Amino acid sequence: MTLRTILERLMSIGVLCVAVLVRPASAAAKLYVVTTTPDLAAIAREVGGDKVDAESLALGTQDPHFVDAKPSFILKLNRADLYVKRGLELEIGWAPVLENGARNAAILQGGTRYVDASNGIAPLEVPSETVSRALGDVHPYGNPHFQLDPANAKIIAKNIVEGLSRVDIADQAYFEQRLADFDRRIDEKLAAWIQLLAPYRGAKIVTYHKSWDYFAQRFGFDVIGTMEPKPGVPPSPAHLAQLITLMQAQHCKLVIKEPFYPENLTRVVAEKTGAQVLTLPESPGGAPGTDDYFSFMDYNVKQVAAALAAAKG
Amino acid sequence: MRRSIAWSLALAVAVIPFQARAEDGSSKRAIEELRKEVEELRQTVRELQKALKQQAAHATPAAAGQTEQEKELEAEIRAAMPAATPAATPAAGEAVPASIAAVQPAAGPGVGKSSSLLNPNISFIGDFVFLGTDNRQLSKANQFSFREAEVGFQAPIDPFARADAFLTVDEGGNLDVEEAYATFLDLPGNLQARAGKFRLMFGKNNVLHRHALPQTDRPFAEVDNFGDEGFAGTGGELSWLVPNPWDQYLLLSGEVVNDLGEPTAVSQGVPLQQPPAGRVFRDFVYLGHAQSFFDLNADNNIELGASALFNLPKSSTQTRIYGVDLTYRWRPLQQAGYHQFLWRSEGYFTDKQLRGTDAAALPVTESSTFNTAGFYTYGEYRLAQRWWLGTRVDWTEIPAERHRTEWDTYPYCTFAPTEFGYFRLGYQYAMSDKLQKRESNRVWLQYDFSIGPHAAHAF
Repeated sequence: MTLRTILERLMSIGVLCVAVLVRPASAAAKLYVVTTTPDLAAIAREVGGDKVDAESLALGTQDPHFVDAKPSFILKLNRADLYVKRGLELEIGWAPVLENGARNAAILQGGTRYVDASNGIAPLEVPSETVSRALGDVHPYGNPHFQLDPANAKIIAKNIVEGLSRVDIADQAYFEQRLADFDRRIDEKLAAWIQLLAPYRGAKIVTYHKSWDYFAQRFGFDVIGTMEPKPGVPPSPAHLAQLITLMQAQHCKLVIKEPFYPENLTRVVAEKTGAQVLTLPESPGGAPGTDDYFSFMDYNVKQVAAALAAAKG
Repeated sequence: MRRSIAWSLALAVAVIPFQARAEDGSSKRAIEELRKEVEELRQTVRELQKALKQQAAHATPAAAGQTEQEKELEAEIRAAMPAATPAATPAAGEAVPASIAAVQPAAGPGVGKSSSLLNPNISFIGDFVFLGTDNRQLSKANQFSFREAEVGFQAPIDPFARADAFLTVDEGGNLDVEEAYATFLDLPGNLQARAGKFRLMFGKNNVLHRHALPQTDRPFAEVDNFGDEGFAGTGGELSWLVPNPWDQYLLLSGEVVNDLGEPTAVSQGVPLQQPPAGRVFRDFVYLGHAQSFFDLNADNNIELGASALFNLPKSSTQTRIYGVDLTYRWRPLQQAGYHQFLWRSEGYFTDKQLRGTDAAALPVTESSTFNTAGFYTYGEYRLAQRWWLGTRVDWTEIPAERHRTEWDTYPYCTFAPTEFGYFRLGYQYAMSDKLQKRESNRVWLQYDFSIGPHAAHAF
């Protein structure tokens, strides 16, 4: 390979790079929304309609606390027109590296293209005492799994619409109209979900992680314990023995875990207590046929209703 | 109709006495229980009254003499002028030091809290090691050592830049600035810049702090090129996230630092040049680095990197170090917290052109060009949520000493109860031409912990 060939190739790469840098605006006709978790992407699609192209960094089958900060995600954030985070420090272990490497200051906290989905959420379990790691992997600003309460989905949607309107003021009316429609559909579905689960209000449940507290609060379940002795700490035999005794005493017949938690220990607990184990997604896409927010919540509600009906009957 | 009413009355008359008798027994029990509860409540009230009296006796005479109306009035006044009322009023005649008076925080919601919210994230990391070995020539042989305490400060400077600083103190109490730099996050044209003291972007291992290393020590191939703690220098960096039509991650970085630094110069066997007062471009050390990343699919990815470091002294030894790195990761998304695999290899190539007095000191049989090579490779498997198993193989020619090598094999096991602390046990079989007794068996025991919100390291 001659020096001239090398120079020619380098020049062609340079031209390609410049072409990409100055690519026409029509290529970005849709707003590119990058979210940390799939629930946010699903809601962004609902309120953004055909004006947005939403993508989540984490998948529904993935533990949102521990996502690999892959360099390919930096590329997505670099191109993002809007960046939506769940917030309450859910993503503190992986998102900051990506944000700082993205070379897109507008998606950083306080930027015009940044949305914290937890704005306006009334968080559960905000520690009232001094927070330390002795409490486990605790979130100092409260439990970040608020997306499992459909009423909170309306707040998330409102936050996203505010962000979309900042970026694309011309389509603000469109986004607000879609937000109103989303809210109306949530209200309708929420009433139906509450009705479906009404016979089981007060039912005692156990969850693997403290992910289902908002869900339980909305539908009137009593979370009597978790498989993890403290958030993020794997179950110990001593803790599980206590949990089994508690479940037996309180006639708890349902354990809920996410797809990314192991099955072996929940199976042991189920065998000892006669409880049913449900593997439910924490976010859309975590189970087949749950790609949008409504089908995701529908799936979870129906699964819980069926399990509790079986336990009752 | 009349008949049915009569039947109903008769039935009621017949049933009521039975019900009354049944209720009679249960209501007696209920009354008895209520009586007990009332008695318990009375007892509780008596105890509370007693406690209140004791509190009143310990209260200040002035407060004790206040009426309820006065107390309410005082509370209203306090609420109306929170900033003017110090938390503790000094006794008469007791001077208030001016400095303390000046820094008394104003009371009120949010005050104080907001200032602490603006503090940088502060973290502390401790690194304890025990090295057991049959080779007493090794430093810290058969002893515990507190190798390093690291304190990190990290925060945005403003909306455009952030600062990261890491200070380390070793067992001897020597304080060092491991890194302290500002990053300018969003420059035009997908550029980003760093200025300060930082670990150079040479390969994958060099950028890692000690506590983040996959093994207890750095591989020979790295140590023999850059020193025990890797290569950090003071200077600047410009990096470019290269846009490309294939939508692949490609990062090009250029760095310039003052000099090789003492650890690297010693490792390379070259004198650390004292540059003239007015530096010219020849007096700096330059580094170029390219990093690319490919998602094979959702569970598998590959990372490739290449680095070149060089200096250009006019009259003394010119040092060039090249590196290539390759990482393969298997992380099944749904089970990544329980099972994953990583394989990483790095190669180092040194090319030194001896000049001036360095060349003159050479025996006539030796060339003034001095090339060495080295590599390490390791695989690590996460077999459960808290457990990792790994093995490293490492071989290198020693850049500072001709025709000499070092190599090791190093299986290890890491147990991490949480992401904030881990134990590591490793066995290293090493052969080193640097030591009189070449062979050594080394057992490493390590415990590292971090407190505070130390940010995640780069992928």
